[in-house]
Amino acid sequence: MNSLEYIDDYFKGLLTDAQKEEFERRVQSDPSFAEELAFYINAQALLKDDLIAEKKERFKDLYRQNKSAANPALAANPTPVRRLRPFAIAASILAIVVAAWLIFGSQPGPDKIAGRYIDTQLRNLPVKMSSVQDSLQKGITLYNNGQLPEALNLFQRMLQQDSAKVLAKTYAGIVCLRLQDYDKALDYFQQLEADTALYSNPALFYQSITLMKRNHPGDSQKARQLLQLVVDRDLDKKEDAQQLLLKHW
Amino acid sequence: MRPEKTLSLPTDTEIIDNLTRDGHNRRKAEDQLFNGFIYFVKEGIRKYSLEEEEALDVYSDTIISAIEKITGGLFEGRSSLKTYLFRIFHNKCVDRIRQLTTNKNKIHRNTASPDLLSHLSDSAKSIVQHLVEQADFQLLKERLSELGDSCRKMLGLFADGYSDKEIAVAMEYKTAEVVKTSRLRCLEKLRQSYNLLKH
Repeated sequence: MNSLEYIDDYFKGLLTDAQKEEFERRVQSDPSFAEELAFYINAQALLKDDLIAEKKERFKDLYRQNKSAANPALAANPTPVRRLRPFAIAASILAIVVAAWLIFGSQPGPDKIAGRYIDTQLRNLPVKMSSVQDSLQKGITLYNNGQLPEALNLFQRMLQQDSAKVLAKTYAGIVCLRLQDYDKALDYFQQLEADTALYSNPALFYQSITLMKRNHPGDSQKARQLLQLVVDRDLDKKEDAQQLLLKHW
Repeated sequence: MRPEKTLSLPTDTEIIDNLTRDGHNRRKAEDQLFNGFIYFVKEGIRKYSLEEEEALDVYSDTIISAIEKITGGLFEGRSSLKTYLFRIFHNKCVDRIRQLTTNKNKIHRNTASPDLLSHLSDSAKSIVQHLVEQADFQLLKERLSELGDSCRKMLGLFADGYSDKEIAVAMEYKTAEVVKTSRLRCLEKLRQSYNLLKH
């Protein structure tokens, strides 16, 4: 066996332990053998260097091919976007949920909006500045004093005497609304609506308020249609109707 | 291990099998491995602030190192190839940054560190190390380039970790023994040619 074969077998692990010990001893005692060993090691290192250089060149070509083929893995800055995409989607969903909650979730229902309107606009009825206290004025005073059943009783008596009394009908409906007798309130406002001789008729608007306050299934949708009708036909309470449409729909 | 198979990317098992089973599919498997995780280059640019060329070089080193470990049976398959490769890539990126910040001239050396030295005992190593460092690598390189194609190919395959049996298959030799004899003859030719001009 020549020296190179001996060295080759050593590095391939083909020698026995005893042969390995002999090999190590020879390295230390035989300078020409040590030189051959150094040559073998250098030749292998050089061949490996060439091999690595050749592979790197091949990989460079592969990289160029991938780039020219517009491989998405090498597209301009795809990684951060791809990485952040789940977070972006989650953030978008969260933003939509929060926005929806702010717009719809936190918005009061139609009954609450109608309740606020009643509290602010229908808490008191207009009093005529006159020294004469007729039944209508008495009813208004009772209403404004919070004596709602008494006020209703008075307005009803007026209507029994003269069913065409428009204001008594309107106020009777409003009292019923305050007393949460919505069906009866609607009845009064529908009667009012039928009075086509009126120049100014708030019947449709008050029906809308009543329906919103009652808030039965379908009431809200019906109330919206009526309010839209008030706006479209330029009826009495048009501005209030517009406000309510903006607030709730 | 990555179980799924896509049209462009074979599974971990397929790549490892092709790298280790025989020499025929090895080059193809090497390219598949390189292409499979090519996006690491962008990671090198983005995460480690390397220039594109540097990132590509580190990635190539990563693949070469992984191939060597896989073919040498050192990859145990405890993690996916992706995890395994990224660990190597990360370490190499850190090394490269350290090299770039400490001494740029040391980055591109002329020869690979002769890792065969590590096989020797300390006493033998110190003797041989001294001789290795005295070698004229430029001359050796020139002599190597003057060898015939067949010799260079055979020696190259051996340096790449191919066994004589695999070389026999790849280069259509009859037996591994014939390859061994031919290979050692090529090496002896190189040694004589080198020694002739060295002394």
